[in-house]
Amino acid sequence: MDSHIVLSGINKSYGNVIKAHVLKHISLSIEKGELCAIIGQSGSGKSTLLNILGLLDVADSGTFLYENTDTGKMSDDQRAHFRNSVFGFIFQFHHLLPEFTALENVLIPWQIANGSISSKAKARAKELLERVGVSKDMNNRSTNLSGGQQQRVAIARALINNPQVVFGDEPTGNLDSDTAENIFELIKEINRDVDSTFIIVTHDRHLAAECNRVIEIADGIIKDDIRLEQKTKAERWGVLSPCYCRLKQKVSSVS
Amino acid sequence: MFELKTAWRFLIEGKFQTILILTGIALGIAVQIFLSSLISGLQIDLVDKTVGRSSHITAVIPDRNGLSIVDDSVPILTKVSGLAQSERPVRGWRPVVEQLKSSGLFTSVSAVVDGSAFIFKGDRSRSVLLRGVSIGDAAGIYKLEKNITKGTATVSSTNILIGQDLAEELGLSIGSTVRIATPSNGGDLFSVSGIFDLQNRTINESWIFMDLRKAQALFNYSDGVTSIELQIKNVFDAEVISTYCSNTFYQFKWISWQKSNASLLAALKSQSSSSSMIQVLVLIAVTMGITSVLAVSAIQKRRQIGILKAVGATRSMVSNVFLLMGAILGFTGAVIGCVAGYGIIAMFIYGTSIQTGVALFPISIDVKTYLISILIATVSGLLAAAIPARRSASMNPVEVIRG
Repeated sequence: MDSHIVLSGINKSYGNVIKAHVLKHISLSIEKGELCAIIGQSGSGKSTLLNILGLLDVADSGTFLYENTDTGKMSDDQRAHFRNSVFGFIFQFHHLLPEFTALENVLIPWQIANGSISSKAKARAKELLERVGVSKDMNNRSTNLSGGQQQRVAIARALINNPQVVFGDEPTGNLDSDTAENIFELIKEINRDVDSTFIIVTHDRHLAAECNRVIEIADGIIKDDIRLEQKTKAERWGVLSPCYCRLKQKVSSVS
Repeated sequence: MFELKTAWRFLIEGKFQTILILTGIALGIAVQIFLSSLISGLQIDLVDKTVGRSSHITAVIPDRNGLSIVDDSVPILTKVSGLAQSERPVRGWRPVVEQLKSSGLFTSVSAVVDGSAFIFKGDRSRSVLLRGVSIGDAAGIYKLEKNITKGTATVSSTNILIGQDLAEELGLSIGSTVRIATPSNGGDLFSVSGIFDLQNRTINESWIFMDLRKAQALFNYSDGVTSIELQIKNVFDAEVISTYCSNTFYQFKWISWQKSNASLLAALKSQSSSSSMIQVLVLIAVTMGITSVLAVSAIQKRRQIGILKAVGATRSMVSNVFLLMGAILGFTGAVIGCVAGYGIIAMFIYGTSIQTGVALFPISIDVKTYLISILIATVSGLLAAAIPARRSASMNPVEVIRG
């Protein structure tokens, strides 16, 4: 089996006085190139799981193997290096630096890795901005861009260092539904074009239905792990729509 | 250099804050520059007025009775005049003077015969200090070319130089004839060839410069002298050089100007230390100002720092951003402060010289002071940034990206 990302027995609690056990003994493996959605209600622990996967946060116990490397033994700086060169991030609130232009924001991970900007890097950044459709406004300060544009720039930034895994924490959560759909289409397209793994946290089941795999978290445990690759749109929705699904089950059990 | 670019952008973005703290730093440094220039100028002026027209190191004959002739409480001039009664002149002085002249340590070397005498003009007489000198050598020490107000700086067996106060008291002018008598000589006639002003009343009313050989004859000293007067380039080396001379020529007692001006030195020292205390306080204020601005900035830029850390900036990168902000603030503020300080000095010089044409104090403008100020302010900026830098570096990006 391809051991791309393997979690086993991950626990995470917050708080000193009143402990909130956010993740309870999570075990999970994700394969290379997957477009994987993590869904769940707010407070279910899905964002915490993403932060641990993205090496932004550290689990209290359990192991996280990335390509057979035990990430638990990494130093702060090693994890920073991973976040910079191996992973890419798209956050809910775009999180661009207002002091920099769109193009400069895209180049930030590159500069952190390499110090100076080469003409090749600049060309790649422009290409990515073109790909996400913000090339016209690339020299604008990020504060002068619309929400959708900012998120597109954030996607370009996530891709600049050719990451193996791209993490998205509610990447469309702050956008209106049309823009959200566009952005999600873009994410899907990019996932098809590059062979990076995409792990997206969302509470939107419609968007999750577009992914190859959906992991549902509830109260800190994996409640469902559904593979959607071979399913039609109707089947996917049938599986993911909780009310329909349960009603159907109830009806069929009665009859 | 990503950190530098980020630091720069952060400072530019927080315009108001940056301008405010830069003004603060600049004011502090300007005060520092002005104060140190004023005080060092004042000191140079004071030292120059005190020792510029007198001997820096004086070689005298040790007291016969073994008692020290040096009395720190009395100015050296009085001492020298007091010597004449009790001393024997030194005869073997020529090789010593030759050696001193060829050593290169001294700008002027002058052998002197000193002694008390009386000057008579008509029915008036005054007690004076007769100073027999080779006029070329003495002119170097007493800047006679500059300080002769009437006549010329020449002496001969019949010509002498007198001070302007003495000239006034006795009603003498160039060409006047006077009689000078010493304890061992009933009196010779001299003509006044020049009148000097050494800007010291005691000297101006009691000194008379006379040809060395003539003075030796008047005092019956044959070829002896009573002291050797020396001037050096840097007056503050006098102590060291005088010690060196004591070890080489022990037939003389070597007295530096510092020994005879202890109270002046104490005043200079306390002036210097109060000036450096003010400068240290200004520096502390500047450092604290930078620290507080950067602490605020660290909070304002929390989100940015969190993003940078999330996309892989290491601890040291984040802390470098803040250290560079501190250094840029310190450096830029200091440069502006130096320009402003120079401006204040220029205004001060202009303002105090409107009426007299000459500045009240000669203010010393030393490029080194400016460079040191800039360097210290930059280093203070770095130090000031240390705490905000550390705090930002250890921030957890998860706290920020949650929104």
